[in-house]
Amino acid sequence: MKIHIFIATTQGLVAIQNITPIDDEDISSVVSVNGTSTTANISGSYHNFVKKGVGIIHQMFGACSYRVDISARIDQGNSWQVAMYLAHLTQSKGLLGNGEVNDGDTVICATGEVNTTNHQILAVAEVALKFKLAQPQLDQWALLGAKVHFLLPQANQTDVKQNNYTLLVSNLDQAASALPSSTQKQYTQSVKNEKLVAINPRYIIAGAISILVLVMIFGLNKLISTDDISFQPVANKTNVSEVEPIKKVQLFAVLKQDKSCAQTSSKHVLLANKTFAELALNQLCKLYLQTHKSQGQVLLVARDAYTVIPLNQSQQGWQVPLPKKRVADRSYFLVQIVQTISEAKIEQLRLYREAMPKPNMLTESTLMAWLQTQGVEFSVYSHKLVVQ
Amino acid sequence: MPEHQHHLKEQLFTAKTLYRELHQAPEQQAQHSNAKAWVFNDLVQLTQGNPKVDAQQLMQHINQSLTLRRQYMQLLQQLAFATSPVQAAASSAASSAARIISRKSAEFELLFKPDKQFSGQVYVILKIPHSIEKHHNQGVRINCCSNELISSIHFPPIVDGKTQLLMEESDQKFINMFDAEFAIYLS
Repeated sequence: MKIHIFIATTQGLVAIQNITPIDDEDISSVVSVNGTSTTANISGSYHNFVKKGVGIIHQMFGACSYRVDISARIDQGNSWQVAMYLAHLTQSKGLLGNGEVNDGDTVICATGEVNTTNHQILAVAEVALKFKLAQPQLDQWALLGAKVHFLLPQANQTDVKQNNYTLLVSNLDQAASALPSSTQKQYTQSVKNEKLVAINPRYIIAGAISILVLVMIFGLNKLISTDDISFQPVANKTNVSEVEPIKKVQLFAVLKQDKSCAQTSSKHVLLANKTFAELALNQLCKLYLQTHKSQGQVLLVARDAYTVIPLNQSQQGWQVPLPKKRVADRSYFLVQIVQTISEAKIEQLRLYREAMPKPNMLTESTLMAWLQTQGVEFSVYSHKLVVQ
Repeated sequence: MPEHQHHLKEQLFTAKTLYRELHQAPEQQAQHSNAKAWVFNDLVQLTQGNPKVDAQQLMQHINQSLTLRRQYMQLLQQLAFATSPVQAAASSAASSAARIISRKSAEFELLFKPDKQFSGQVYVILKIPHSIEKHHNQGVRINCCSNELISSIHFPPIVDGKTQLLMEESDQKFINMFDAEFAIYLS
Protein backbone atom coordinates (compact mmCIF):
# COMPACT_ATOMS: atom_id res chain seq x y z
CA MET A 1 0.00 0.00 0.00
CA LYS A 2 1.45 3.33 -1.09
CA ILE A 3 0.43 6.89 -0.40
CA HIS A 4 0.55 9.14 -3.44
CA ILE A 5 0.78 12.86 -2.86
CA PHE A 6 -0.31 15.31 -5.54
CA ILE A 7 -0.06 19.08 -5.67
CA ALA A 8 -3.22 20.68 -6.99
CA THR A 9 -2.25 23.43 -9.42
CA THR A 10 -4.07 25.63 -11.90
CA GLN A 11 -2.71 23.38 -14.64
CA GLY A 12 -3.93 20.13 -13.06
CA LEU A 13 -2.49 17.67 -10.57
CA VAL A 14 1.27 17.34 -10.22
CA ALA A 15 2.61 14.16 -8.59
CA ILE A 16 5.42 14.23 -6.07
CA GLN A 17 7.30 11.24 -7.43
CA ASN A 18 10.27 10.95 -5.18
CA ILE A 19 12.11 12.67 -2.35
CA THR A 20 15.81 12.05 -1.79
CA PRO A 21 17.78 13.54 1.08
CA ILE A 22 20.94 15.19 -0.24
CA ASP A 23 22.11 16.36 3.18
CA ASP A 24 25.07 18.30 1.84
CA GLU A 25 25.42 21.86 3.04
CA ASP A 26 26.98 22.89 -0.27
CA ILE A 27 23.97 21.74 -2.26
CA SER A 28 20.70 23.64 -2.02
CA SER A 29 17.40 21.80 -2.07
CA VAL A 30 16.05 21.39 -5.56
CA VAL A 31 12.79 20.48 -7.27
CA SER A 32 13.37 18.71 -10.57
CA VAL A 33 10.90 17.69 -13.23
CA ASN A 34 10.51 13.96 -13.96
CA GLY A 35 13.98 13.07 -12.76
CA THR A 36 15.66 15.25 -15.38
CA SER A 37 18.08 18.09 -14.83
CA THR A 38 15.27 20.55 -15.59
CA THR A 39 14.43 22.31 -12.38
CA ALA A 40 11.10 23.84 -11.47
CA ASN A 41 10.96 27.56 -10.80
CA ILE A 42 9.82 26.86 -7.25
CA SER A 43 13.24 25.36 -6.39
CA GLY A 44 14.35 28.53 -4.61
CA SER A 45 11.15 28.71 -2.56
CA TYR A 46 11.40 25.02 -1.76
CA HIS A 47 14.98 25.52 -0.58
CA ASN A 48 13.67 28.14 1.85
CA PHE A 49 10.84 25.81 2.90
CA VAL A 50 13.50 23.26 3.87
CA LYS A 51 16.06 25.63 5.36
CA LYS A 52 16.37 25.68 9.12
CA GLY A 53 15.25 28.94 10.66
CA VAL A 54 13.09 29.89 7.69
CA GLY A 55 11.38 26.64 6.71
CA ILE A 56 10.26 23.55 8.56
CA ILE A 57 11.51 20.50 6.65
CA HIS A 58 15.11 20.40 7.90
CA GLN A 59 13.94 20.81 11.45
CA MET A 60 11.26 18.15 11.13
CA PHE A 61 12.91 15.53 8.94
CA GLY A 62 16.62 15.94 9.62
CA ALA A 63 18.46 16.45 6.33
CA CYS A 64 19.59 19.95 5.43
CA SER A 65 18.77 19.59 1.73
CA TYR A 66 16.56 17.40 -0.45
CA ARG A 67 15.89 16.66 -4.08
CA VAL A 68 12.22 16.35 -4.96
CA ASP A 69 11.06 15.01 -8.32
CA ILE A 70 7.69 16.15 -9.54
CA SER A 71 5.76 15.13 -12.64
CA ALA A 72 5.33 18.58 -14.22
CA ARG A 73 6.61 22.10 -13.86
CA ILE A 74 5.31 24.40 -11.17
CA ASP A 75 6.35 27.93 -11.88
CA GLN A 76 5.07 30.09 -9.09
CA GLY A 77 3.15 30.40 -5.85
CA ASN A 78 3.45 28.62 -2.50
CA SER A 79 0.33 26.46 -2.54
CA TRP A 80 2.54 23.38 -3.01
CA GLN A 81 3.74 23.62 0.61
CA VAL A 82 1.08 21.50 2.34
CA ALA A 83 1.47 18.70 -0.21
CA MET A 84 5.25 18.89 0.09
CA TYR A 85 5.07 18.60 3.88
CA LEU A 86 2.79 15.56 3.58
CA ALA A 87 5.12 14.01 1.02
CA HIS A 88 8.06 14.38 3.41
CA LEU A 89 6.02 12.87 6.23
CA THR A 90 5.03 9.95 4.00
CA GLN A 91 8.54 9.51 2.63
CA SER A 92 9.96 9.36 6.14
CA LYS A 93 7.85 6.21 6.65
CA GLY A 94 8.86 4.73 3.32
CA LEU A 95 5.29 4.89 2.03
CA LEU A 96 5.54 7.59 -0.63
CA GLY A 97 4.26 6.41 -3.99
CA ASN A 98 5.47 7.65 -7.35
CA GLY A 99 2.12 8.94 -8.60
CA GLU A 100 1.11 5.74 -10.38
CA VAL A 101 -1.96 4.77 -8.38
CA ASN A 102 -3.03 1.17 -7.86
CA ASP A 103 -5.99 -0.47 -6.16
CA GLY A 104 -5.79 -0.06 -2.39
CA ASP A 105 -3.43 2.91 -2.50
CA THR A 106 -4.20 6.23 -0.87
CA VAL A 107 -4.20 9.44 -2.87
CA ILE A 108 -3.88 12.80 -1.20
CA CYS A 109 -4.18 15.92 -3.32
CA ALA A 110 -3.50 19.13 -1.48
CA THR A 111 -3.29 22.84 -1.93
CA GLY A 112 -2.35 25.33 0.75
CA GLU A 113 0.45 27.53 1.97
CA VAL A 114 2.09 26.96 5.35
CA ASN A 115 2.85 29.58 7.95
CA THR A 116 6.22 28.16 8.96
CA THR A 117 6.11 29.83 12.37
CA ASN A 118 2.83 28.50 13.77
CA HIS A 119 2.18 25.70 11.21
CA GLN A 120 -1.21 27.10 10.28
CA ILE A 121 -2.41 26.54 6.72
CA LEU A 122 -3.11 29.74 4.85
CA ALA A 123 -5.72 30.38 2.15
CA VAL A 124 -4.62 30.20 -1.47
CA ALA A 125 -6.08 31.42 -4.75
CA GLU A 126 -7.91 29.52 -7.51
CA VAL A 127 -8.97 26.58 -5.33
CA ALA A 128 -12.19 26.11 -7.31
CA LEU A 129 -10.26 25.83 -10.58
CA LYS A 130 -7.73 23.45 -9.04
CA PHE A 131 -10.49 21.17 -7.79
CA LYS A 132 -12.37 21.32 -11.09
CA LEU A 133 -9.25 20.26 -12.98
CA ALA A 134 -8.50 17.50 -10.49
CA GLN A 135 -12.01 16.04 -10.19
CA PRO A 136 -12.05 13.72 -13.26
CA GLN A 137 -8.78 12.18 -12.09
CA LEU A 138 -10.07 11.83 -8.52
CA ASP A 139 -13.17 10.02 -9.83
CA GLN A 140 -10.99 7.67 -11.85
CA TRP A 141 -8.80 6.79 -8.86
CA ALA A 142 -11.87 6.27 -6.67
CA LEU A 143 -13.27 3.86 -9.27
CA LEU A 144 -9.94 2.07 -9.29
CA GLY A 145 -10.34 1.39 -5.57
CA ALA A 146 -8.01 3.98 -4.12
CA LYS A 147 -8.84 6.14 -1.12
CA VAL A 148 -8.89 9.69 -2.38
CA HIS A 149 -8.76 12.97 -0.43
CA PHE A 150 -8.53 16.53 -1.60
CA LEU A 151 -7.13 18.78 1.14
CA LEU A 152 -7.84 22.49 1.04
CA PRO A 153 -7.37 25.24 3.57
CA GLN A 154 -10.21 25.88 5.99
CA ALA A 155 -10.10 29.50 4.91
CA ASN A 156 -11.01 28.41 1.37
CA GLN A 157 -14.10 26.43 2.41
CA THR A 158 -16.49 28.67 0.48
CA ASP A 159 -14.57 28.10 -2.77
CA VAL A 160 -15.48 24.44 -3.17
CA LYS A 161 -18.75 22.71 -2.35
CA GLN A 162 -18.15 19.94 0.18
CA ASN A 163 -18.07 16.46 -1.33
CA ASN A 164 -16.67 12.97 -0.74
CA TYR A 165 -13.13 14.04 -1.49
CA THR A 166 -12.68 17.37 0.22
CA LEU A 167 -11.13 17.76 3.64
CA LEU A 168 -10.78 21.18 5.21
CA VAL A 169 -7.58 21.66 7.16
CA SER A 170 -6.38 24.60 9.17
CA ASN A 171 -2.98 23.39 10.36
CA LEU A 172 -0.34 20.78 9.62
CA ASP A 173 -1.55 18.49 12.39
CA GLN A 174 -4.93 18.22 10.70
CA ALA A 175 -3.31 17.73 7.31
CA ALA A 176 -1.20 14.87 8.66
CA SER A 177 -4.31 13.23 10.06
CA ALA A 178 -5.47 12.64 6.48
CA LEU A 179 -2.82 9.93 6.22
CA PRO A 180 -4.02 6.32 6.55
CA SER A 181 -5.39 5.26 9.91
CA SER A 182 -2.39 3.11 10.94
CA THR A 183 -0.22 6.17 11.00
CA GLN A 184 -2.99 8.51 12.03
CA LYS A 185 -3.59 6.60 15.26
CA GLN A 186 -0.02 7.05 16.32
CA TYR A 187 -0.10 10.64 15.21
CA THR A 188 -3.23 11.45 17.22
CA GLN A 189 -1.69 9.88 20.27
CA SER A 190 1.35 12.12 20.02
CA VAL A 191 -0.82 15.19 19.46
CA LYS A 192 -2.72 14.31 22.59
CA ASN A 193 0.50 14.06 24.54
CA GLU A 194 1.57 17.44 23.26
CA LYS A 195 -1.73 18.95 24.22
CA LEU A 196 -1.52 17.42 27.68
CA VAL A 197 1.77 19.18 28.21
CA ALA A 198 0.76 22.35 26.46
CA ILE A 199 -2.60 22.79 28.14
CA ASN A 200 -1.50 21.74 31.60
CA PRO A 201 1.81 23.32 32.53
CA ARG A 202 0.86 22.41 36.07
CA TYR A 203 1.93 18.82 35.30
CA ILE A 204 5.40 20.06 34.50
CA ILE A 205 5.62 22.12 37.68
CA ALA A 206 4.28 19.19 39.73
CA GLY A 207 6.90 16.91 38.15
CA ALA A 208 9.69 19.34 38.89
CA ILE A 209 8.59 19.67 42.51
CA SER A 210 8.48 15.87 42.87
CA ILE A 211 12.05 15.57 41.61
CA LEU A 212 13.16 18.33 43.99
CA VAL A 213 11.52 16.54 46.92
CA LEU A 214 13.23 13.28 45.93
CA VAL A 215 16.57 15.03 45.81
CA MET A 216 15.98 16.51 49.23
CA ILE A 217 14.97 13.15 50.71
CA PHE A 218 17.61 10.88 49.18
CA GLY A 219 20.39 13.37 48.65
CA LEU A 220 22.35 14.00 45.51
CA ASN A 221 24.89 11.28 46.16
CA LYS A 222 22.36 8.51 45.79
CA LEU A 223 21.01 9.91 42.57
CA ILE A 224 24.33 10.71 40.97
CA SER A 225 27.02 8.09 40.69
CA THR A 226 30.52 9.07 39.66
CA ASP A 227 31.91 5.63 38.99
CA ASP A 228 32.74 5.58 35.29
CA ILE A 229 34.19 2.13 34.72
CA SER A 230 32.29 0.01 37.16
CA PHE A 231 29.12 -1.57 35.84
CA GLN A 232 26.05 0.46 36.59
CA PRO A 233 22.97 -1.10 38.07
CA VAL A 234 20.13 0.45 36.16
CA ALA A 235 17.32 -0.13 38.58
CA ASN A 236 17.03 3.54 39.56
CA LYS A 237 15.56 4.85 36.37
CA THR A 238 14.87 1.70 34.45
CA ASN A 239 11.32 1.35 33.39
CA VAL A 240 9.00 -0.56 35.68
CA SER A 241 8.14 -3.02 32.94
CA GLU A 242 11.71 -4.19 32.72
CA VAL A 243 11.98 -7.81 33.81
CA GLU A 244 15.70 -8.47 33.81
CA PRO A 245 17.77 -5.42 34.77
CA ILE A 246 20.65 -4.71 32.42
CA LYS A 247 23.79 -5.68 34.26
CA LYS A 248 26.45 -3.50 32.66
CA VAL A 249 26.32 -0.62 30.30
CA GLN A 250 29.32 1.39 29.21
CA LEU A 251 30.01 4.00 26.60
CA PHE A 252 33.34 3.26 24.99
CA ALA A 253 35.03 6.16 23.17
CA VAL A 254 37.94 5.89 20.74
CA LEU A 255 39.78 9.23 20.79
CA LYS A 256 42.40 10.86 18.59
CA GLN A 257 45.90 11.06 19.97
CA ASP A 258 46.99 13.70 17.50
CA LYS A 259 45.17 15.45 14.67
CA SER A 260 43.91 12.33 12.93
CA CYS A 261 42.45 9.01 13.96
CA ALA A 262 45.60 7.16 12.84
CA GLN A 263 46.70 6.92 16.45
CA THR A 264 44.02 6.55 19.05
CA SER A 265 43.42 6.02 22.70
CA SER A 266 40.25 4.74 24.29
CA LYS A 267 38.30 5.28 27.44
CA HIS A 268 35.04 4.43 29.12
CA VAL A 269 32.82 7.43 29.55
CA LEU A 270 31.60 8.47 32.93
CA LEU A 271 28.02 7.42 33.61
CA ALA A 272 25.98 9.26 36.19
CA ASN A 273 22.26 8.95 36.70
CA LYS A 274 21.77 7.36 33.26
CA THR A 275 23.57 10.26 31.63
CA PHE A 276 26.97 9.77 30.04
CA ALA A 277 29.51 12.54 30.42
CA GLU A 278 29.84 14.92 27.49
CA LEU A 279 32.47 14.20 24.86
CA ALA A 280 34.28 16.62 22.56
CA LEU A 281 33.33 15.96 18.94
CA ASN A 282 36.67 17.04 17.53
CA GLN A 283 38.54 14.39 19.54
CA LEU A 284 36.22 11.55 18.77
CA CYS A 285 36.98 8.76 16.27
CA LYS A 286 34.48 6.11 17.24
CA LEU A 287 31.87 5.58 19.89
CA TYR A 288 30.30 2.34 21.10
CA LEU A 289 27.65 1.48 23.62
CA GLN A 290 28.67 -1.73 25.35
CA THR A 291 25.84 -3.69 26.87
CA HIS A 292 25.06 -7.04 28.33
CA LYS A 293 25.24 -9.71 25.63
CA SER A 294 21.57 -10.62 25.91
CA GLN A 295 20.60 -7.13 24.85
CA GLY A 296 18.32 -7.19 21.79
CA GLN A 297 18.58 -3.77 20.24
CA VAL A 298 19.81 -0.23 20.75
CA LEU A 299 18.19 2.80 19.17
CA LEU A 300 19.64 6.27 18.84
CA VAL A 301 16.93 8.89 19.23
CA ALA A 302 18.19 12.39 18.50
CA ARG A 303 16.98 15.18 20.74
CA ASP A 304 17.85 18.01 18.35
CA ALA A 305 16.50 16.37 15.19
CA TYR A 306 13.84 13.82 14.26
CA THR A 307 16.38 11.09 13.66
CA VAL A 308 15.74 7.58 14.99
CA ILE A 309 18.46 5.09 14.05
CA PRO A 310 18.79 1.43 15.05
CA LEU A 311 22.47 0.89 15.89
CA ASN A 312 24.62 -1.81 14.36
CA GLN A 313 26.43 -4.20 16.63
CA SER A 314 30.13 -4.90 16.21
CA GLN A 315 32.69 -6.65 18.36
CA GLN A 316 33.33 -3.49 20.36
CA GLY A 317 29.63 -2.90 20.96
CA TRP A 318 26.77 -0.94 19.42
CA GLN A 319 28.37 1.63 17.17
CA VAL A 320 27.02 5.15 17.62
CA PRO A 321 27.17 7.00 14.27
CA LEU A 322 29.00 10.30 14.56
CA PRO A 323 27.73 13.43 12.79
CA LYS A 324 29.39 14.24 9.46
CA LYS A 325 29.44 17.96 10.16
CA ARG A 326 30.89 18.57 13.55
CA VAL A 327 29.78 22.16 13.79
CA ALA A 328 27.12 22.01 16.48
CA ASP A 329 26.48 20.19 19.74
CA ARG A 330 24.43 17.02 19.32
CA SER A 331 22.18 15.57 22.03
CA TYR A 332 20.58 12.19 21.89
CA PHE A 333 19.12 9.29 23.80
CA LEU A 334 20.36 5.73 23.55
CA VAL A 335 17.47 3.35 24.10
CA GLN A 336 18.43 -0.15 25.12
CA ILE A 337 15.70 -2.65 24.37
CA VAL A 338 15.85 -6.20 25.66
CA GLN A 339 13.86 -7.63 22.77
CA THR A 340 14.47 -7.00 19.09
CA ILE A 341 11.71 -4.75 17.86
CA SER A 342 10.31 -4.66 14.35
CA GLU A 343 11.11 -2.02 11.73
CA ALA A 344 7.42 -1.08 11.87
CA LYS A 345 7.77 -0.16 15.53
CA ILE A 346 10.86 1.90 14.78
CA GLU A 347 8.84 3.67 12.09
CA GLN A 348 6.13 4.32 14.65
CA LEU A 349 8.71 5.89 16.93
CA ARG A 350 9.87 8.08 14.03
CA LEU A 351 6.28 9.08 13.41
CA TYR A 352 5.82 9.89 17.05
CA ARG A 353 8.91 12.12 16.90
CA GLU A 354 7.88 13.81 13.68
CA ALA A 355 4.47 14.69 15.04
CA MET A 356 6.19 16.97 17.55
CA PRO A 357 6.30 20.56 16.27
CA LYS A 358 9.93 20.85 17.41
CA PRO A 359 12.42 18.01 17.85
CA ASN A 360 13.62 19.31 21.20
CA MET A 361 10.15 18.74 22.65
CA LEU A 362 11.17 15.13 23.23
CA THR A 363 12.08 14.60 26.87
CA GLU A 364 13.24 11.50 28.60
CA SER A 365 9.85 11.11 30.25
CA THR A 366 7.87 11.45 27.01
CA LEU A 367 10.17 8.95 25.31
CA MET A 368 9.78 6.54 28.21
CA ALA A 369 6.01 7.01 28.17
CA TRP A 370 5.94 6.06 24.49
CA LEU A 371 8.19 3.04 25.03
CA GLN A 372 5.96 1.84 27.85
CA THR A 373 3.01 1.70 25.46
CA GLN A 374 4.98 -0.66 23.21
CA GLY A 375 5.25 -3.45 25.79
CA VAL A 376 9.04 -3.68 25.59
CA GLU A 377 11.69 -3.79 28.28
CA PHE A 378 14.04 -0.89 27.97
CA SER A 379 16.47 1.59 29.51
CA VAL A 380 17.12 5.11 28.33
CA TYR A 381 20.50 6.87 28.49
CA SER A 382 21.28 10.46 27.61
CA HIS A 383 24.43 11.74 25.99
CA LYS A 384 25.74 14.92 24.43
CA LEU A 385 28.57 15.48 21.98
CA VAL A 386 29.93 18.98 22.19
CA VAL A 387 31.92 21.25 19.89
CA GLN A 388 34.94 22.72 21.58
CA MET B 1 7.36 25.16 -85.04
CA PRO B 2 6.46 28.68 -86.16
CA GLU B 3 8.74 31.32 -84.77
CA HIS B 4 6.02 33.27 -83.04
CA GLN B 5 5.03 30.16 -81.04
CA HIS B 6 8.62 29.64 -79.96
CA HIS B 7 8.71 33.25 -78.74
CA LEU B 8 5.49 32.70 -76.87
CA LYS B 9 6.96 29.78 -74.92
CA GLU B 10 10.02 31.81 -74.10
CA GLN B 11 7.88 34.71 -72.94
CA LEU B 12 5.76 32.40 -70.78
CA PHE B 13 8.87 30.92 -69.19
CA THR B 14 10.25 34.39 -68.45
CA ALA B 15 6.93 35.60 -67.11
CA LYS B 16 6.62 32.57 -64.79
CA THR B 17 10.15 33.00 -63.53
CA LEU B 18 9.59 36.67 -62.80
CA TYR B 19 6.24 35.92 -61.16
CA ARG B 20 7.91 33.34 -58.93
CA GLU B 21 10.59 35.82 -57.95
CA LEU B 22 7.99 38.47 -57.21
CA HIS B 23 5.90 36.00 -55.23
CA GLN B 24 8.79 34.74 -53.12
CA ALA B 25 10.36 38.10 -52.40
CA PRO B 26 7.99 39.19 -49.60
CA GLU B 27 8.55 35.88 -47.73
CA GLN B 28 12.29 36.27 -47.97
CA GLN B 29 12.03 39.88 -46.84
CA ALA B 30 9.97 38.74 -43.87
CA GLN B 31 12.66 36.21 -42.97
CA HIS B 32 15.26 38.95 -43.11
CA SER B 33 13.19 41.23 -40.91
CA ASN B 34 12.87 38.42 -38.28
CA ALA B 35 16.65 38.11 -37.95
CA LYS B 36 17.50 40.58 -35.25
CA ALA B 37 20.07 43.19 -36.02
CA TRP B 38 22.56 43.10 -33.16
CA VAL B 39 24.27 46.26 -32.03
CA PHE B 40 27.38 46.78 -29.92
CA ASN B 41 25.23 47.64 -26.92
CA ASP B 42 23.83 44.10 -26.96
CA LEU B 43 27.35 42.80 -26.46
CA VAL B 44 27.86 45.21 -23.57
CA GLN B 45 24.56 44.14 -21.99
CA LEU B 46 25.42 40.46 -22.31
CA THR B 47 28.87 41.09 -20.85
CA GLN B 48 27.23 42.73 -17.87
CA GLY B 49 24.90 39.78 -17.40
CA ASN B 50 21.67 41.52 -18.33
CA PRO B 51 19.12 38.66 -18.38
CA LYS B 52 16.86 40.51 -20.86
CA VAL B 53 19.30 39.94 -23.71
CA ASP B 54 18.53 36.87 -25.81
CA ALA B 55 21.79 35.24 -24.84
CA GLN B 56 21.35 32.05 -26.83
CA GLN B 57 20.91 33.80 -30.17
CA LEU B 58 23.55 36.39 -29.50
CA MET B 59 26.10 33.77 -28.42
CA GLN B 60 25.41 31.87 -31.62
CA HIS B 61 26.07 35.06 -33.54
CA ILE B 62 29.24 35.77 -31.57
CA ASN B 63 30.59 32.29 -32.21
CA GLN B 64 30.03 32.71 -35.95
CA SER B 65 31.82 36.04 -36.23
CA LEU B 66 35.50 36.48 -35.42
CA THR B 67 35.08 40.25 -35.07
CA LEU B 68 32.21 39.92 -32.61
CA ARG B 69 34.12 37.31 -30.64
CA ARG B 70 37.13 39.59 -30.32
CA GLN B 71 34.92 42.50 -29.26
CA TYR B 72 33.08 40.32 -26.74
CA MET B 73 36.36 39.01 -25.32
CA GLN B 74 37.67 42.58 -24.94
CA LEU B 75 34.49 43.59 -23.16
CA LEU B 76 34.69 40.59 -20.83
CA GLN B 77 38.28 41.41 -19.95
CA GLN B 78 37.27 44.97 -19.13
CA LEU B 79 33.91 44.50 -17.45
CA ALA B 80 33.80 41.03 -15.86
CA PHE B 81 33.16 40.83 -12.12
CA ALA B 82 35.72 38.05 -11.69
CA THR B 83 37.89 35.82 -13.85
CA SER B 84 39.59 32.47 -13.67
CA PRO B 85 42.27 32.11 -16.33
CA VAL B 86 43.13 29.02 -18.35
CA GLN B 87 44.40 26.53 -15.80
CA ALA B 88 47.97 25.34 -15.91
CA ALA B 89 47.81 21.58 -16.24
CA ALA B 90 50.41 19.45 -14.52
CA SER B 91 49.14 16.43 -16.39
CA SER B 92 51.26 15.05 -19.22
CA ALA B 93 48.16 14.26 -21.26
CA ALA B 94 48.11 17.74 -22.70
CA SER B 95 46.13 16.91 -25.81
CA SER B 96 43.00 15.67 -24.09
CA ALA B 97 40.58 18.01 -22.40
CA ALA B 98 41.78 18.29 -18.81
CA ARG B 99 38.82 18.05 -16.42
CA ILE B 100 39.27 19.99 -13.20
CA ILE B 101 37.06 19.49 -10.17
CA SER B 102 36.77 23.10 -9.06
CA ARG B 103 37.79 26.64 -9.86
CA LYS B 104 38.70 29.01 -7.15
CA SER B 105 39.60 32.68 -7.13
CA ALA B 106 39.55 35.45 -4.57
CA GLU B 107 36.02 36.39 -5.68
CA PHE B 108 34.33 33.05 -6.29
CA GLU B 109 34.46 29.28 -6.10
CA LEU B 110 32.91 27.02 -8.70
CA LEU B 111 32.56 23.33 -7.95
CA PHE B 112 30.37 20.40 -8.87
CA LYS B 113 29.02 17.40 -7.01
CA PRO B 114 27.40 14.40 -8.69
CA ASP B 115 23.82 13.50 -7.84
CA LYS B 116 23.87 10.26 -5.87
CA GLN B 117 20.60 8.96 -7.24
CA PHE B 118 20.66 10.02 -10.88
CA SER B 119 24.00 9.15 -12.40
CA GLY B 120 24.98 11.58 -15.10
CA GLN B 121 23.51 14.58 -13.30
CA VAL B 122 25.62 17.05 -11.36
CA TYR B 123 25.02 19.97 -9.06
CA VAL B 124 27.15 22.89 -10.15
CA ILE B 125 27.62 25.20 -7.20
CA LEU B 126 28.85 28.77 -7.51
CA LYS B 127 29.86 30.50 -4.29
CA ILE B 128 30.42 34.24 -4.26
CA PRO B 129 31.14 35.36 -0.71
CA HIS B 130 31.06 39.07 -1.51
CA SER B 131 28.52 39.30 -4.27
CA ILE B 132 27.18 42.55 -5.66
CA GLU B 133 23.57 43.70 -5.81
CA LYS B 134 22.85 42.55 -9.35
CA HIS B 135 23.84 38.98 -8.41
CA HIS B 136 20.98 38.96 -5.93
CA ASN B 137 18.49 40.42 -8.38
CA GLN B 138 19.32 39.06 -11.80
CA GLY B 139 21.65 36.14 -11.12
CA VAL B 140 25.15 35.47 -12.41
CA ARG B 141 26.37 34.81 -15.94
CA ILE B 142 29.41 32.64 -16.50
CA ASN B 143 31.28 32.88 -19.81
CA CYS B 144 33.66 30.06 -20.67
CA CYS B 145 36.16 31.14 -23.30
CA SER B 146 38.66 29.20 -25.37
CA ASN B 147 40.41 30.24 -28.58
CA GLU B 148 37.69 28.67 -30.69
CA LEU B 149 34.53 28.94 -28.66
CA ILE B 150 32.70 30.97 -26.08
CA SER B 151 29.84 29.41 -24.12
CA SER B 152 27.68 31.27 -21.69
CA ILE B 153 25.44 30.05 -18.89
CA HIS B 154 23.13 31.85 -16.51
CA PHE B 155 22.85 30.97 -12.82
CA PRO B 156 19.86 31.94 -10.65
CA PRO B 157 20.20 34.81 -8.16
CA ILE B 158 22.65 34.37 -5.32
CA VAL B 159 21.10 33.33 -1.99
CA ASP B 160 23.21 32.93 1.16
CA GLY B 161 26.35 33.54 -0.88
CA LYS B 162 25.74 30.77 -3.39
CA THR B 163 23.73 29.65 -6.36
CA GLN B 164 23.49 26.34 -8.17
CA LEU B 165 22.37 24.57 -11.30
CA LEU B 166 21.45 20.95 -11.85
CA MET B 167 23.05 19.88 -15.12
CA GLU B 168 23.72 16.84 -17.25
CA GLU B 169 27.32 15.74 -17.06
CA SER B 170 27.36 15.46 -20.84
CA ASP B 171 26.20 19.07 -21.32
CA GLN B 172 28.89 20.91 -23.30
CA LYS B 173 28.44 24.00 -21.15
CA PHE B 174 29.20 21.97 -18.03
CA ILE B 175 32.22 20.39 -19.70
CA ASN B 176 33.56 23.82 -20.68
CA MET B 177 33.20 25.18 -17.16
CA PHE B 178 35.50 22.52 -15.79
CA ASP B 179 37.85 22.30 -18.74
CA ALA B 180 41.28 23.63 -17.79
CA GLU B 181 41.70 25.06 -21.28
CA PHE B 182 38.77 27.42 -20.87
CA ALA B 183 39.09 30.75 -19.09
CA ILE B 184 36.07 31.82 -17.05
CA TYR B 185 34.56 35.29 -16.77
CA LEU B 186 31.80 36.04 -14.28
CA SER B 187 29.41 38.90 -14.73
